[in-house]
Amino acid sequence: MSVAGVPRAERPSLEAMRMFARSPVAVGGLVLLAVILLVSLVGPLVYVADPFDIVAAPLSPPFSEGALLGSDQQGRDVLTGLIYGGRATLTVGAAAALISVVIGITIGAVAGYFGGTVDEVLMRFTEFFQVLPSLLFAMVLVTLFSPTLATVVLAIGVVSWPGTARLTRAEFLKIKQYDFVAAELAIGARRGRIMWKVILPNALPPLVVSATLAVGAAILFEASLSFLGLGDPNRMSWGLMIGSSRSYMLSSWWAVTFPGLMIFLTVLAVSLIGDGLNDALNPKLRERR
Amino acid sequence: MDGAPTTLLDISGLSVEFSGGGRTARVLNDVALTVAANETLGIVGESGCGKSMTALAILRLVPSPPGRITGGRIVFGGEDLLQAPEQRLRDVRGHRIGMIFQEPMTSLNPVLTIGDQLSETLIKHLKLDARAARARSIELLKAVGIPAPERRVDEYPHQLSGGMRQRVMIAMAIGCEPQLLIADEPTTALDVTVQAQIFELLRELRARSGMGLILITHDMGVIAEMTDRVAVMYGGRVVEEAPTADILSAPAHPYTRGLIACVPDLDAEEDSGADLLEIAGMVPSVWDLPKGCPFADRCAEAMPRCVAEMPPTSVLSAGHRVACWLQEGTGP
Repeated sequence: MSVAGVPRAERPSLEAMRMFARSPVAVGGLVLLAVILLVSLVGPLVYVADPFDIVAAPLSPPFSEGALLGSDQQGRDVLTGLIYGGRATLTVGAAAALISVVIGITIGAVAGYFGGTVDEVLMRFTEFFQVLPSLLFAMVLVTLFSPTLATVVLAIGVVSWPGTARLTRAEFLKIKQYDFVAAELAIGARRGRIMWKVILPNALPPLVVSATLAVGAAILFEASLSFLGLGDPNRMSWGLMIGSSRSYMLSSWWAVTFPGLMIFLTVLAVSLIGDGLNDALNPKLRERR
Repeated sequence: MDGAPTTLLDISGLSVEFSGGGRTARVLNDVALTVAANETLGIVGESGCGKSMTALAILRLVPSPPGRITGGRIVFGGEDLLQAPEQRLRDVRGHRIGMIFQEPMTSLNPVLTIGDQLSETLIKHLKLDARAARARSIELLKAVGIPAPERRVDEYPHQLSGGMRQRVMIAMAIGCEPQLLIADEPTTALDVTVQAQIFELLRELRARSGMGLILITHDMGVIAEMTDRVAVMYGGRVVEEAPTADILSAPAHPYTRGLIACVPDLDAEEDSGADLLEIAGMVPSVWDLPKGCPFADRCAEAMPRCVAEMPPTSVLSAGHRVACWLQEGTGP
C-alpha cells in the first residue's frame, strides 16, 4: 500500500483465528462439534419421529427390525433418541455455561476491581459455593423445584460459577495494575468504562477458554443429573437415555453405550476447541510460532 | 515572587501516606511546588523519592486503599483539586491536565486501535462525534510527528515502536489542549536518540500552546536542557527548589550536589582517570524514614543535628529554597 515496509494492520482477534485454524486438533474438534450440532438441530426436522414411541420389542439388539441401534427396555428406538436427545443436552450445556460465566465474570470483576472489603465479602461468598459438593447442591435445587429443563439449567449454572469468578478476579487484579489502566484514569474515564471496556477485553482470552470448557462440564453435569433420574423426564436427552437404561447396562450394552458415546464425543469436541483457543489466545505461545 | 507569570498550579503542604500491615509510610511529606503557564518545572530525584507519587497526587490518582492523601492543597486554576468532587476531577483529568507515563510499551491498551484510544478522550471531553474525533486523531498524530497518520490511526499498539508509542501517548495527553502537562520520565524506556526527539517535541508543543509542563526525571542532563525551574526531591520531600540556572551553578543541598556530580562529563578536557562519582548508600525506605533529614545517613557533611532534627527551609535568594542545616540562616 502507500507506506512501504509497514505490515498490514491486523486485529489481534484475526491473528488468533489464524492460529486456531493452524491447529489440526482444534479444527478437528470444531468439525466434530459442527457434525453433532447439525445432527441435533437439523436431524429432528429431517427424520420426524417421536423418541418416546415404542417401535420394537424391548431391548432388541442393534440391527433389529425397526431399531438400527437397538431399543431400550421399553422398546424405544435408540437412534431416534440420539437424534432427538442432542437438543436438550446441548441446550442445557450452552445455557448453563452461559449463566455460570455471566455470574462468574460479574462477581469476579467486581471483587478484583474494587478489592478490599468488597473483595473479601464476594470471595467468601464464592468459597461458600465452592465448598458445597456441586452435584449434591444441584440435586437439591432440582428436587426442590420441578425437574424441568429450565430448573436443570439454572441449577447447573448456579453451582458451577465459582471457578470462573476466581479466574476473572485474578485477571482483574493483574490487569488493573497495568499502566494503560492508570492512563485511562488519567484521561478521566469512569469506573464502569474501565471495568468493562478496558480491563474485561484484556482479560477475555483465558475466560473464553474457561467458558468453552464450562460447556463441556455442563453437559456432563446434565448427564449426571439425568442419570440419577433428576432430569426433565419429558424431554429426551442423552443423559436420560443412559439413566433409564442403567439397570440393563450389562445385558443390553447398546442402550447406554450409544448415548454415552455421544456425550463423550461432544465433550471431547468442546475440550479440543477450548484447548485450541487456549493456544491461539495465549500471547506467549503466539510469539513462539 | 516576581509576580509576572500567572501561577497555574500551586501545591502546598501535600502529604501522602501508605498504610499496610499495621504500619504507615509517609510517601510525601509537606511537598510544596508551583508551576506557571508557559513554564517547565523539573522534578528530579532517585527512584522512590516521591516524584511519581507527586504526579499521581495532582490528579488524585494515588492508589487507594493503601494510599491516602492526608493533607495539603493542590490549587489548579483557582480550584483546590483535593476538595473537588470525583466528577469534577474526571473533567480535569485528560482535559485540563494531561499526563504522560513512563512506559510507553504498557501505557496503551493492547486491544484498542490507536485511533480508538485517541478518540476516547476527544469524544469524552470535547464532545466530538466519532467522525470528527477520528479526523482530529489523525491531526494529532501528525502534530506529534508520526508518519502516515491516516494509516497508523487504525493500527494496534503492538505494531508501533516504543518511540512511536510515546508519541501516541503525548498525542493523547495534548488532545484536549490541556493547560498543564505532566510527563513522568517520558523517555526512560526509550533509546537515547529517540529521547532527544521526544524532548524536542515536548519543547515545541509547550512553546506553541503556552501550557505549563512538569517534567519528572532522574537525569540532571535533561533538567539542564529542558527546564526553567527545578525541584529536587528526596525521601518524599522537596529538599531544594530553584531556577535551573541557579541550581546548576550553585547547588545548595549536598544531595543536589551529588546528583550533579553523578552526571558524566563527556567534554572533559583530558581523561583524568577519575571514576564516575556516585552517592554512596541507598534511598531510605518510606516505611522507615529517619526522624531528621532523610539524607543524613548518606551525606558526607552530616552533623549530629541532621540526624536528630528535620532541617527547616531556608530561602537563599529569590525562588531558591533549600532544606538543609548547612544553609540555615545563610539567606539574604
